Amino acid sequence: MNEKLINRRVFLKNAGLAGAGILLASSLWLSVFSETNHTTKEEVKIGIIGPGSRGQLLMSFLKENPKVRIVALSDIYQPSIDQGRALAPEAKLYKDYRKLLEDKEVDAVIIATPLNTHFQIAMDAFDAGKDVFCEKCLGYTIKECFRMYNKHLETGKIFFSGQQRLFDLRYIKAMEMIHAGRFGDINAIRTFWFRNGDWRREVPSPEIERHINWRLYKEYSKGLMTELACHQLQIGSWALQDLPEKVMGHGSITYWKDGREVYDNVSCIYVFENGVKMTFDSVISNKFYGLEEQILGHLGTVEPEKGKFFYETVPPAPGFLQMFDDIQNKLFDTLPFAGTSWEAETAKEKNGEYILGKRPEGDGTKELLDAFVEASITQKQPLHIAEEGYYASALCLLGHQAIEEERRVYFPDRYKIDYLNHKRQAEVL
Amino acid sequence: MQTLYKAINEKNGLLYTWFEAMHTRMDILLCGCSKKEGEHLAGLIYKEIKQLEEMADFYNKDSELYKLNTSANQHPVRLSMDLFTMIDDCIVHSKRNEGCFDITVQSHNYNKTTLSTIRLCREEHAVFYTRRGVRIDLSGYVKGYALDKVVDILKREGQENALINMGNSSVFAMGNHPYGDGWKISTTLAGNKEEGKSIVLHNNCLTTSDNHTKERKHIISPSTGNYLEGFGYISVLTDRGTTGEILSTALLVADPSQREKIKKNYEFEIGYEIK
Repeated sequence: MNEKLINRRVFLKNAGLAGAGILLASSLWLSVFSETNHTTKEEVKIGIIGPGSRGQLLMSFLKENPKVRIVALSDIYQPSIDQGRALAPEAKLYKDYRKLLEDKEVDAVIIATPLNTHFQIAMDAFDAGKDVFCEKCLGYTIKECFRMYNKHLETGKIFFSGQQRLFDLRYIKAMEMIHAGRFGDINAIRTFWFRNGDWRREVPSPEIERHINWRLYKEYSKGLMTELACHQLQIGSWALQDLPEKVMGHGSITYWKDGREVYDNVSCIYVFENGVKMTFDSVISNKFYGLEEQILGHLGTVEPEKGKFFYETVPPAPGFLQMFDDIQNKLFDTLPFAGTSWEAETAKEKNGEYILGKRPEGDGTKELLDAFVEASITQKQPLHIAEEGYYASALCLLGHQAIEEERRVYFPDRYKIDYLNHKRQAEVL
Repeated sequence: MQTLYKAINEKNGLLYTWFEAMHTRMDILLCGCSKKEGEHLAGLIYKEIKQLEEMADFYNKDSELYKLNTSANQHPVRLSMDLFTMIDDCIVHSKRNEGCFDITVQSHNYNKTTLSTIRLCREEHAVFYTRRGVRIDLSGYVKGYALDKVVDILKREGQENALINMGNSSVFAMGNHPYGDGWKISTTLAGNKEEGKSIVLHNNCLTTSDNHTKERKHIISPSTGNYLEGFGYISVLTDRGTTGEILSTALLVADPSQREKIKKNYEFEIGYEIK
């Protein structure tokens, strides 16, 4: 088998999950890799809509996959076209994405354009019969996200969003541990993303300032909520297997008063029905704490970005936890722990333990794209992928609404879909 | 004290409790109990172990043992039943183990006669040291005593199947694993030629004494009064935790002739050994 190809067995083995008979109930989408050995001779022809910096990063991963051929590029900004072409010299070039969608050779599209354009491009792509990988945040409004999700259901085409944590082994393993109760009851999740920079890109000519720095202007983007929170809020529903019912928040421009319209300082509190809270904070004038999702259980804490977990007091013994699991699985196995006396003095260091037993590598983006390719080949939508993407986008947009309206905002019933604790209440639009 | 409980059916389940005590960790797995029963037992065990810890901590100035060590050379000190029993038991064992397990090795100017300077008054549960500088250290024994007390508690309360671990070096298995006979244990000791070899424990105890690295020196040999040098370990299988603690330490420090004599004085099996 080509070493660049990934299959489920290898992927899970890397996470220390293979062979343990563990059902990855919390990461059902990993079934997407179950048929990789049967698709080795298949190929997906991909069109890139928006080969800017993010698009080029995605292209660099796609190029590593022998099942992918990038056959078309589309952008209205010539430097992006030129840079994209350097990565895919054979690709056809289109100024208008609609022409790319008319190209029968294109099986699937990657949408990495400014946020305000996602909706129309994705809807047109579905209508053109293409599989869609859309960068997050999916839409500019919850309604747009809802309609995109419904269009995916209606057309039956594959639909992924750029939520790479879903394929990051640190997160997969951490979620398996959380769902097994290793950290006790999760009562709070604190997410934050701190940077120290103006978030600007170099602009060759002033008249294209808004086009290049689209993240800073409300016409195009909702700033930190749609660009950063989207990744982190999804961790809450994944960990808790629940969706929050309401959110409150505040946003302001406190440091980068340079003409931007989006906030450089935001905070939101999401509240679940049982009172559990998830916060998101982002400030881009101090990077000391970086980014993290701190998942706080009554027995321990998980920090998946660091790839570590910590116990409140003395941690449970891995061997005993294994036996605990074995008994549940009706196994009678050996418990390897007897020997040298455990010393509290040396074990008390609060350095935590690595979730995967070593420093984290990668962030799941490559595996996410590989998964999209497999799904496009098999035409089987992996379970929960579209739903996780939908709610990640909807929740960050709901938070933005709470910030803008300065009030507590409940998740609208009309935009609920059948997922976790939500039930669809509206007909497909 | 932390606990995890998983129900197997409406009445029965697994309760795992763990906590830190006696400068190490305690892990107890109870099988076939309800959550309420398991938590009740875990509470009793925790209370018992913490009491023994407070009583017999060599380093804690508030412990009963510390107070004994600082005043027993001035006047007889009346002790709690548990502390007196522990000291008495160690002294009784000393002849059977050729003096290779000696609770007075931490004394000032220790020599082979130091243990004999301890006087016991069984009627009063009192102890008197006839010499200044004598200090009793029960660190190598108290875990075994605690283990036996836990087993007694569980038997008294009707709990039949359990695995009790005191710091990995003292493990007692009661009854059976839910899906097999006894409990299968193996060692993490480095350099073990029989790595991966399982030992089935069934109403008995596996106790290990070791110098797990060449650098680690923590066991004083009564023969020399110095720390035992070099890498080595021994695990013994016994019916009681206290016997296991005494035997594993004694066999680790004993010379070949002492070992032969000790072996004749006890009923036990060797689990793992490198010496």
